[in-house]
Order: sequence, then structure tokens, then C-alpha cells
Amino acid sequence: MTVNEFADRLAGSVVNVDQQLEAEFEARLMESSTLAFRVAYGVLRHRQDAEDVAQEAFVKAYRSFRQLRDRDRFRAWLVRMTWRLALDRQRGDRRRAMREVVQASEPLAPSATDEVAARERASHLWAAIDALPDKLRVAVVLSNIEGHDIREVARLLNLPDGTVKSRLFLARQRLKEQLQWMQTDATR
Amino acid sequence: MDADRRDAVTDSACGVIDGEIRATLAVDPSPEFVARVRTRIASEPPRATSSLSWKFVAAGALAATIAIVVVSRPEGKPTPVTQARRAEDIQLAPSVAIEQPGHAPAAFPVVSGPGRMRAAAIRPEPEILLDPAETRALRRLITGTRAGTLDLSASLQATAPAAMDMPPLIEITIPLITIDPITSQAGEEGARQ
Repeated sequence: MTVNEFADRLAGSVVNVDQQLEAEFEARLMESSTLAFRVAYGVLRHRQDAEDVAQEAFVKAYRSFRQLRDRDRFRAWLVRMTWRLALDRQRGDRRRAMREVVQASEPLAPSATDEVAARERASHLWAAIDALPDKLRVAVVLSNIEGHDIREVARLLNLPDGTVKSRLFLARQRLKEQLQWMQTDATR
Repeated sequence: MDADRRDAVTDSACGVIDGEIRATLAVDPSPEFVARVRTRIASEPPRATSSLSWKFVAAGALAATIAIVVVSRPEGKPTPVTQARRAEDIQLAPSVAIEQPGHAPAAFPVVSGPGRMRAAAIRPEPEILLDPAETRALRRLITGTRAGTLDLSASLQATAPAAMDMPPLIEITIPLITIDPITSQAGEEGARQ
């Protein structure tokens, strides 16, 4: 084998590896795009901002994809990175006054009065969630995305199941204390 | 009774809270989101092929630098060195004798007489020297490869060194070793030396 043949063969194998990596990344992007977007949305509650943050997280994941080829590892890394980027964005954007109001709750409020009440309730709820410590907050958000159970949340956060369980318990306790009026609504 | 009622209220409150959060987070990204990510990634600079090849490139660059330094060093010229060779040191010591063997580049002047102590005091660490014959051989190899006058096909095709011819094995016979039991003679047991 000549030197040129050897170099050609080496270049060919590098191209093959790169193509395989691109295909794997594409698969991860397809299956995790909604997850990343919702994690960012859980912090920012602004669709465009959440998409920007999720996109940034994917770009960072692409740059480090050789170390993130394992599916579970990729999802966990992506969630944590998206969460961090979203928090950074939120902290740097405190002046933003208008937050997108929950579209999904609109069908529950047929009349204008109900709609106002629903908006107010959602506003109070998210203010309370935003006031939680980050550890509790991320657990609450992740446990309400894509039907994640405690085990899945623990895997995403790289924590023991028991830790996630206790954090969720603490978070709910605090939310419940701050949202007493919701309790009275619920018992009616 | 009150405790049961309180638990029920708590559970229902948690249900309401979770329901609100789920409703808020049940939002999908826009249909263009994935396409935007793909476009953004396509505009990324090309990724390094691998950490391994990066190391190869670094090692190659280092080897090339060393080769250039070796080739560009003039042959037979003494290496310009050292504080000991400062002109003032040599001029101030009339009995200093500098010996330089013909081809070998001397790293340090040989100093005798009153200047010896002073030269020894300021002598730096010795240089790492290359054998001139080795340098010439390397230079010939590089020049020949560049000019195409050297045929390296044999060394490129060689995969593994040929096995050495080993001398024939001779069977070794070991005679049976017999160990006679030690017998004690009467009256010797317990005798003190």
C-alpha cells in the first residue's frame, strides 16, 4: 500500500464515522426537540425565547456529540444544559414584563370572567414555581413534562430516585402553602 | 377524621397544581423549530474529525518542527553558546586554552588556569547534542525523499520483521537427583557445639 492509498483509506474511514455521527445526532434531535423546548418553556414561558434556548442547547450538544452518543446520557445532558441556558436567559431578561399566557388553559375558561380567573391562577402558580429553589423547581417542571415518572426524572437529573421524590414532596408542600386559595377552589 | 379530610384536600390541591403545570407545559415547538436547528448546525464550523486524529496532527507537527530544526542547523559549525564564551571571560584570562576537536561541536571551552573557577561558576546546563553522522544521515534521507532518489517501497511494504533463525532445540536430560536421608549416629543427638 502506498502512502497515498493509506491516506485515502484513512480519509474514507473518517468520512464514514462523521456520517454515522450525523445520522445519530439527527435521530437525537428528532426525539428530543420537544423535550428541550418544554424544559426551556417551563422556565421562560415564552415560545420564541424557549425555541432560541433549546436551539442553543442543541448546538452545544452537537459540538460535544462524540461524548454524548449514548441516548440516556444525551437526554440528561440536554435537559441540564437547556435548563441552565434558560435560567441564564431569564436572569438576563428580568425586565421582560409580558409573559405568554397559557394557551392550553384557554378552553377551560369559556367566559371572559373565567378566562381572567384562569390567567390569574396561572400567574400566581408560576410566580410560586419561579420562587422555588432551582433544585425543587427543575424537579417539578420535569415531572410534568411528557409524563415523566420519578425514575425518569432521576435519570435526567442524574440523582437517586429518593432524592427526586423528596424534592417533589418539598416543592409541592411549598406550592401548597403559597397557593392556599387553590385548595379552597379545589374543595368546592 | 379531620386528618383524612386534610389529606384529601392536600391531594386535590396537588392535583390542581400539577394539572395547571401540565397544561402550561403541554406546548409544542413550532413546526419550523427542527429545521431552524438543522440550519444553525449546518452553519457550524466543521467539527474536528476526532480527538485521535487531532493528536496525530499535533504529533506530526511536532516531528516536522524537530526535523526542520535538525536540517537547518549548519553542519560542523560550533554551537553558539553560553555565558562562558563571552569575550570578556576569555580575554581576561590569559592562560585560558580553548580546545575544539575537528568535527565534533564542542559545547564548552576547556578552560585552565585562573579562569577555570570563574568559568565553572557560570557554566550553564550542558546542551543536548546530536551526533553529526546521524544528522548527516537524516539530512540525506530527507533530501533523497524530496528529490525522489530514494526508493522507500521496500520499507513501506514491510509489515513485520522476519523471524530470526533459531538454533535447533536440544533436548536437555536432567539426571535423577537422589537425596539420601540424614541418619543420626548414636550419641550425637543433643550434643552441644
